[in-house]
Amino acid sequence: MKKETFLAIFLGVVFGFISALIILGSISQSQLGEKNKSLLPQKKEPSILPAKPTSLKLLNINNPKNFLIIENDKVTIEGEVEKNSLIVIQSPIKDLVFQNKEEKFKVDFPLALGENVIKIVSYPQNRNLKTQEKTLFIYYLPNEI
Amino acid sequence: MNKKIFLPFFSLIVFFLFLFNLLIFASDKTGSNSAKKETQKEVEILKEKIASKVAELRRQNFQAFSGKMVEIKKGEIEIKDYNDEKKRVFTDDLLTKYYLIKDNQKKEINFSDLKKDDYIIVSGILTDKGISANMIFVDEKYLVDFGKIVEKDKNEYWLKVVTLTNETISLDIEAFTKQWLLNIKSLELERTGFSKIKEGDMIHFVAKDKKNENNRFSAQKIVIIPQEYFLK
Repeated sequence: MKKETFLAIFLGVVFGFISALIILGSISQSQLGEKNKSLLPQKKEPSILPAKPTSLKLLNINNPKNFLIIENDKVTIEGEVEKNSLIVIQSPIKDLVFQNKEEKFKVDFPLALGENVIKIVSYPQNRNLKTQEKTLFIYYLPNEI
Repeated sequence: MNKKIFLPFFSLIVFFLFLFNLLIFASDKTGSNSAKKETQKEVEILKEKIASKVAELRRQNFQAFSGKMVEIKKGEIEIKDYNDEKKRVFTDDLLTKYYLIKDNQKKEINFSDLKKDDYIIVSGILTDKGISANMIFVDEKYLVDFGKIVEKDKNEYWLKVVTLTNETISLDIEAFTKQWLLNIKSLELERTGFSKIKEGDMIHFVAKDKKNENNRFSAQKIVIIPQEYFLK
């Protein structure tokens, strides 16, 4: 075999080997990419998970704070609870019953001189949910603080 | 200059100088007056700010506590609060004032008028040792609660109620008891009578926190939520 023929064959093999390596590399990268793609969360694809179940909104009184001394003969009771609950607010001088259309509710409530024990009870519209209650001790003591 | 011209000219200058002085004096006077008023206004605002700050600080430090008196000593009272926790209240002969609350009115009383088992409200400052009392009010204690009616006695007009905390309370429905029933359609409260109350209904009640001779609580008022409301 001539020296030139041997060199041509050798270069052909080397070129072929390099080309094979490049092709194999690109194939394996594209396969890896596909694997990675499947592991990542698909933003645009619609989720097949069911909607998160809504949890019970606990009865919470934001205003007034318990054991508060007040100089006025009325107080604004602000709170939040499950929508459409039947809310009963009772004290020795007032009874109030209403249904809250929204989670938040706000009512004016009269106070008697001295200690006012105010019981707030909510009956959720969904009968499977628990009745909740809160008791407030509010002191109407004008000109004493 | 001619004398005839000089004299009116001179008097005119004097007149203008006098007028100018008068104007300067007047503007000074009004300026000092308005400055005085401004200062007074600022002093007033400052006074108001200090007063509201003092009131706010007092409000922050003042707290109210209530409970039944279990021990009365000179200068010291022990109360049991709604949680059955004991608290010490310190009184001062000169500083502490005593009142009785009755029919939404207060009347000043003395330390000697306090009796064991009276229910009191103490307003004062909480310290490590106890409450330093500024004012003590003798008040009526009320029981405000709710529950399910489990028994109804038609002969003696009483109801047995089981509360949310599984406590059983017997309530006497007296002639003076205000009775309300929830209209389940309009959600309005309507006057009702003992005969309309059923076992299984929910009841919200207010009673004086002292048992009567029948060992039951006398209801001051009741609100009935009929069981039908919960079947809707």
